[in-house]
Amino acid sequence: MRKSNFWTFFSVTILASFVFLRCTESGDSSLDKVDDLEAAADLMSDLSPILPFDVTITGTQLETTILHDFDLFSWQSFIALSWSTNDSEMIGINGDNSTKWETWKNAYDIFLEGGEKPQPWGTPGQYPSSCTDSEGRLLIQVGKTPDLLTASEQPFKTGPLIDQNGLYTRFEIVVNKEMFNYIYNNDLYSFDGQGAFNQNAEFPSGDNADSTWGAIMVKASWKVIGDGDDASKFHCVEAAVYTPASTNPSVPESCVIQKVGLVGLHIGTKTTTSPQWIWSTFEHVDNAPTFNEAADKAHYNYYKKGSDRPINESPAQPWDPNRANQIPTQVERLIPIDPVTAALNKEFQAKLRAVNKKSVWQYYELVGTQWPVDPTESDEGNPFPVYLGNATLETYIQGIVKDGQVTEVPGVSSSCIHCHNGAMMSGAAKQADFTYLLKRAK
Amino acid sequence: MTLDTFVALSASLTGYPASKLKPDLDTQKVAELFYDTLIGQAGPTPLAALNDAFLAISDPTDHESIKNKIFDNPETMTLAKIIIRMWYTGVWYYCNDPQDGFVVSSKGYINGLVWGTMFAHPMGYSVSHFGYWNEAPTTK
Repeated sequence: MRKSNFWTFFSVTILASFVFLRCTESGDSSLDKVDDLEAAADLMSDLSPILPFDVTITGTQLETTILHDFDLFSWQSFIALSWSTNDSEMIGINGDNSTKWETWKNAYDIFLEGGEKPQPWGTPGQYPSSCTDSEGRLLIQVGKTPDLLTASEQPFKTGPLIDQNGLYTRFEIVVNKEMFNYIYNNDLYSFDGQGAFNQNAEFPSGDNADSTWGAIMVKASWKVIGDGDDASKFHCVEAAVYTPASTNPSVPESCVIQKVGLVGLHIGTKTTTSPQWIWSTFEHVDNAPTFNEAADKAHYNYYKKGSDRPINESPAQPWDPNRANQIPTQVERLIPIDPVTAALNKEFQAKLRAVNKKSVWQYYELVGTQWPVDPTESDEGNPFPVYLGNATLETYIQGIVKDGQVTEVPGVSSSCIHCHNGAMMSGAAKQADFTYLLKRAK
Repeated sequence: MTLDTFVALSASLTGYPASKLKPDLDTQKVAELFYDTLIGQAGPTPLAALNDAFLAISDPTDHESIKNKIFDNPETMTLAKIIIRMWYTGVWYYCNDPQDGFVVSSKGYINGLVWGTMFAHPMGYSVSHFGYWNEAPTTK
């Protein structure tokens, strides 16, 4: 897919529309004082609905300037993905908006029972028959990994994540058109199709020189908005929260329409510079405090002040999402956000606030970006930072706390590239190119 | 001994270039880890002796000079060997009991030079893809 020169024209048009809009409405936005396009352009620079194709490396220092380049790529990706499906609607101009990534293909619509061929790109997703309302978003996973309730083995220590209201967090994985089409055109959605393909998967790469997008996958975590939650601080959707039936443990099938708020977002992007993919991870700013730092917020989504519960401890089994009054997970971030990343977070949050003081997007922060520093050095490409984890998606594998100190364990503690390097297909002993999705083929 | 001297000395002792031991884009910081271990474990006298002996060598790539000034010198030989063993195995062996020591850290262990030297990986940790063992071995 090629980026057209349309964007140059488009950006000026959208900017002019935006300034006109801000100047004609009443309110206390800082943009009320903006009287020329140049100032507005500066304020909103880096806010674009166009996804970057690949990172642009301008720096030379790993832990400062190069890290900043990759973090900038992450933020640009987050902004573009969170942009309204209507490109002319500035992100967050109305507080919240539907997003582009939510129109992408969900994993459960790709890997079907019996290896059935999925519907082509652009076809609405399927809903379980127990969901009477098929308008909202369908959330079908109760863990980062599928079949969390029934699987006897997990790839690593995992478990459901329970919020302060005693409710399960829900998860989903979607892929972009480029990634879906590669799976679709090569029959990688089925066990038999993978067997016939019988070669390592190689998803398309985003490339700056060719102005092409590559494969992108998004993993999202959502919490049910309830007591103590300020819905105006979350990107919210009405979702069909579905729980599949399970016999052991005994869990009945259910489907409930609930308002859910976004609390975590992984963006995995395959590019020419980073064949091991670029891994960007975002969180809601009120998820959890950082270990050994002050918990100075009045409310956290996954942390309660004064609690004596052990931190980052997976709930005791049996796991049943439908049981009331469950014990909340006490979460702390064990891998702190890098100061370079934190500074960029402030910049982008200010830009988003400048669009609209009530923009929900200002309440998200980049936790970090992992990329291969030397892609040809090994299969993993020497990832940096070595460890990276999202408190809602890798809650229980962030590291271990011993004698008041956080210790990371190679091969165990969260590393996107190290973990995904082991991804294989289900229908052939072939590499899946850093995605475990192909393991879902039946 | 400074960190830069330690890296230069380590390059002479291990046979690996300084750019490998402490790359410009250093994700692991193993040189700093081993340097801190050296400073914390080696006594000041052997450390100063090794430092002085190494700095007195005009060409650190001259193996004969390294042998004569460091390995044939009883004041520097033991510590030099301990440094080599630390780089290759991630283990610090005590000066007064070369058969005993401790693993510096999990990071030091998995980054030991021995694994790459013999085209292998430490137990329980590999940066190769799943199933690589089913493929023809590589020599690069």
